Amino acid sequence: MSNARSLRAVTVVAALSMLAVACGQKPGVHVDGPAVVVAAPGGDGQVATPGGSADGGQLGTDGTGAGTGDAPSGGTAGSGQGAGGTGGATTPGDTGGATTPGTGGTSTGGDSTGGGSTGGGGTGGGTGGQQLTPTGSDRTGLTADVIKIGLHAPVTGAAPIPATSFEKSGDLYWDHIFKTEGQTLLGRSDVELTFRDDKYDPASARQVCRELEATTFIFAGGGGTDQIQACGQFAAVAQVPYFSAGVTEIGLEGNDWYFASSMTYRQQGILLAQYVARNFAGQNTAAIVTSTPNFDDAVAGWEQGVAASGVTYNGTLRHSKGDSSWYSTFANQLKNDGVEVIYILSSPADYIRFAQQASALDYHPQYVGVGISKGLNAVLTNGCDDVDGGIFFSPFPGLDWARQNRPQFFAAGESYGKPTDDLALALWGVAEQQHQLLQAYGATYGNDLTREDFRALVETQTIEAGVFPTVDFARNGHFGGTAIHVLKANCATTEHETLATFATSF
Amino acid sequence: MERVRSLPLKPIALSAAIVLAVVLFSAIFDISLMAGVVNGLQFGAVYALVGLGIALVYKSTKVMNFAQGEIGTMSAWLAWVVMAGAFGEVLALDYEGLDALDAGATGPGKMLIATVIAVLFGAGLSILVNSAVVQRVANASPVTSLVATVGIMLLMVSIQLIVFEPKLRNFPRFIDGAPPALDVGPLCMGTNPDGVCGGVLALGGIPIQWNTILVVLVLAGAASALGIFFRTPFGVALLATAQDPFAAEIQGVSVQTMGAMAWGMAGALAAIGGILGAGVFEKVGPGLMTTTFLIPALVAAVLGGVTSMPGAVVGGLILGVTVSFANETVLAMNLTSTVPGPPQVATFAVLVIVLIFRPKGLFGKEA
Repeated sequence: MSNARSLRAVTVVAALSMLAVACGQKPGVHVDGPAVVVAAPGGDGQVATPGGSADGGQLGTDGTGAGTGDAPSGGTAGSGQGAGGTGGATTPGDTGGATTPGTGGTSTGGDSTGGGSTGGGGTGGGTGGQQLTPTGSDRTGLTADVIKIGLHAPVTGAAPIPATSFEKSGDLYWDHIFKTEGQTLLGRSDVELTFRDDKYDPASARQVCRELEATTFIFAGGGGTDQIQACGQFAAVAQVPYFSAGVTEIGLEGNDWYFASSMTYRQQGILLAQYVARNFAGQNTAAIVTSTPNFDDAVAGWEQGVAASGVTYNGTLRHSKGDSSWYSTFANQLKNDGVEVIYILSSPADYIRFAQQASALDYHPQYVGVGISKGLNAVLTNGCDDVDGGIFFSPFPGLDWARQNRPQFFAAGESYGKPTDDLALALWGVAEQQHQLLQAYGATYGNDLTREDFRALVETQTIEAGVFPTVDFARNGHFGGTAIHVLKANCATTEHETLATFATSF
Repeated sequence: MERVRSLPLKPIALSAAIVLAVVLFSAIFDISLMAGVVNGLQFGAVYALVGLGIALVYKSTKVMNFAQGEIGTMSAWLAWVVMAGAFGEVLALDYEGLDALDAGATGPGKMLIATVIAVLFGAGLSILVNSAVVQRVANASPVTSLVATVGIMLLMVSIQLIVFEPKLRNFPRFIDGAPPALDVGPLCMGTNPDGVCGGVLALGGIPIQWNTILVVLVLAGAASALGIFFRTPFGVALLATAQDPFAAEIQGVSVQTMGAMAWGMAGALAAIGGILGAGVFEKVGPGLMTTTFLIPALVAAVLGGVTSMPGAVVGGLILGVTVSFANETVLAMNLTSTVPGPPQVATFAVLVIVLIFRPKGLFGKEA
């Protein structure tokens, strides 16, 4: 009897395992309906287009308006708010160097005048209008001296990213700002980074994000579409600002608390098709995409771009998540079809294994793609020579670019004895963005930081290009990426070299 | 005891029916059967090797060992360390030092030495798992020992992550490439792009790699050796222990020794599976065998009858070919975007069908 019972028990376990995997989707990831949308406080009415560095500010037309002027380099931003009635119009601000401060927007019935710009070359302008009083109340993760920021990424699990830089270099930028340059930020002298491993699993990601929500002011996702989506949805419920590099739009669209700080896969797919059409004209092209609903928008963007760009297209193949049996079957099919260019959207481990199995069939196509993780140098350490020459879009450039343009990054690494690899550079770029946003907040609201007001401010901001390209957020536009970098794998140096930076079209 | 009802289908007939169904399906829908077989053998043979170890342990000690895969991965890592000469770096957890090493270009001689060491290690590790954990919960329910092996598996993955980081590292094959084409009368296996017989040995346009041939040969050797073993006095004693430990002990058979022997043999099989499994992708990484081969191997063992060695082998090969065939089918029908998880669906379907017609599995015996 025990044999038969055990057999049944094992069968049930195996069957359930297979069923879970067969779904091609981890539980709780996909959102079929509209995304969770939680009304954001302070977001009523029209929100002004950021002004400042280019053209000052302008207020919304009706209703309650809040406008902030962007801070040009060296300056601080002014801000304005109009409540009720019609929003006022601002006098255009200064385009760098002018000393006349922009005039904040005035509005009928408004409770304040908007701020102008003190920026423009660093010397311009007075303080503009008076600072706003924060209306929010959530000050989690803040002390008198420290702002705590959370970060999650997969360092274990099915598709891990090596953890060393996440843990060691996550606060390198802040060390540089506070210790080397002696700056303060919103009256504080440190930003403390808390890192958590999400194990490449959406359920684990929600768990660590719950922990980060309770201990940090804002948090960000370092990679993994399903995990970022899960945390983005959690952030909307918990009402905490959440940032990540652009991944999927599915389940995150309309989420007031989520901000994509680079182009999403759908947006990149359109550009990638342009790139392929221009650089591999006439070559037979196909796509291999992991079969998760969260990549459906990426496929749609890519196929839209393919149709618009006239790419010679063989088709899109999708493979199930967590399966290892498709590599040589797909490679053989694509080889027989004469496919020369493959857009691959999957985990780095799948990419490396596919490239290895394709090489075993003496098939060496040109790999292209979008996203974050396949442009990491760790892929080359693990996948060379099979992945040599692969071209991937990335929100951050290669280390070759950084050596020319961010010497302070390497100097800081040397000073504080921390790794300065490409992942550390990406974290540096993320910190640059957060620094800009927090500075803009300080200019608008002063040092009294709240999550609600920070969220409201972010969606009016344009983050100037640093390591990451310019990001332009709007009230209904939280996918703010405007450009990408192009990286090419070089197995001789085991580094990705930068082919193009801040590209907006091809 | 209630007898399990099943239709009067013999295992060979059922296996043949599955194969026939595959052949007919491929003919009707113009799917490359040979390509499916070649790809399927590559994975199926590894499923079978791991499944063989699972079946051996279950047959001998009635424990479903979820750590079987990771004993193989641990052994593969040891082989990697030997080949790369990385003992110092591992002991010091020197990650940069590890990154600078590469075992990918190791020659067959050194790899053979590393394999022997790894197989001994796998056997020892498996015996340790049995004596340190499984034996201690021997009197509890089967589920307790099953959960204990899951815990051991997770512990092993964690150790690998700490020591080697979550990275794939190059791992060599005993023999790389593929043998030359065969030109036998009207039959040519392997053609050049210009259609002339030549190049490498291939079926359905897919080269048959030396590594695949090696895995199949090793599998055949291991299955044969186990078949012979169970006809020796030691094998009979092991079976007697599994069937009635008390009676076996009265006859002077040491139950503990028999258990250790079964676990040791399964560990050795796991090590061989780990090294050959890493060779499939020429990479080893933390959790490799569990994430890639364990679940199919468990299904293969159940398919074959859990306690049957030939069953595990046949189950593994059927599963490998089925999965590969599922991929070929959706590709041929241009359904990759619409059918979710064809390999998993196919595996699940085969498992359900076999268990409906033969609940004890293809080669399993009545409880």
